[in-house]
Amino acid sequence: MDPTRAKDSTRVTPRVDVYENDKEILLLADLPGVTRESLAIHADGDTLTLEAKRADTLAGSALAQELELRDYSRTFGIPPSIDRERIEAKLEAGVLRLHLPKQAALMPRKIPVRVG
Amino acid sequence: MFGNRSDFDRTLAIMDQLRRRMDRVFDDLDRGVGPEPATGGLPRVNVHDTGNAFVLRADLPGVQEKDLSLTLEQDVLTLSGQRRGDAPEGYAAYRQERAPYRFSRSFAFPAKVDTEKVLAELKDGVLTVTLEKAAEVKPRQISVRVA
Repeated sequence: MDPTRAKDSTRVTPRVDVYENDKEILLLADLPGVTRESLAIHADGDTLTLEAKRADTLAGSALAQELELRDYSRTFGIPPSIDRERIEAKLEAGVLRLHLPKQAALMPRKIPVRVG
Repeated sequence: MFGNRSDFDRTLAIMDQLRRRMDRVFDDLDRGVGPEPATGGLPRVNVHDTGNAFVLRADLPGVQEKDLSLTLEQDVLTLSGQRRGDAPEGYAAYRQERAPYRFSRSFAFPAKVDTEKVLAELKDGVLTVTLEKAAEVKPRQISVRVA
């Protein structure tokens, strides 16, 4: 069975990478066939949902069908430290880069040591 | 020595546990995605016959035009190239399902194609190749005369 097939058979789970540094969580998602207009990102309470439609259907009779041109959907739990107002998304060549910045007050701070 | 752990060791162990728990703050609420399936190979494609042409579509998210090569020899189309890694520097990785890879796949079509009339377009991480059929194999409309 195709592991990208989500439990809901009409949806496909996109592949993601999740990275973190002091300033943000960075999520990269493969969303081939998705345009800016067909992508929706919701940060609702403590969950983040990616939903995207694929509109690139092919005419004619199929000789090979390995791709599932289904809609994408995936939900993540996000920590309260993420500043929901400053989430930024970039979509390029079928790859989404989602920047989830941490709230400034919660960022680790360097404490200067004074020599007395 | 090992059997007699100090309070300090225990504190460190608890901190370690806490840190591991913190690592899981970005939870995947859906089922995770395993490795790409071994069968079929990458990239995965759809091929359609529209009557006048064959249309091949391949998912190539993150693949740059310069890293993609297409050749047509007789009736065999070969796609090859690579998807480069795009891991940002200075970040810790929590989840990595999108691996960089090299690929090469060849496709033979069930009818002769016109090698001069091949169109390839890479858009939104999807490659679409349209191969027009050779004139002699295109479907022809036959008009019926009334005698």
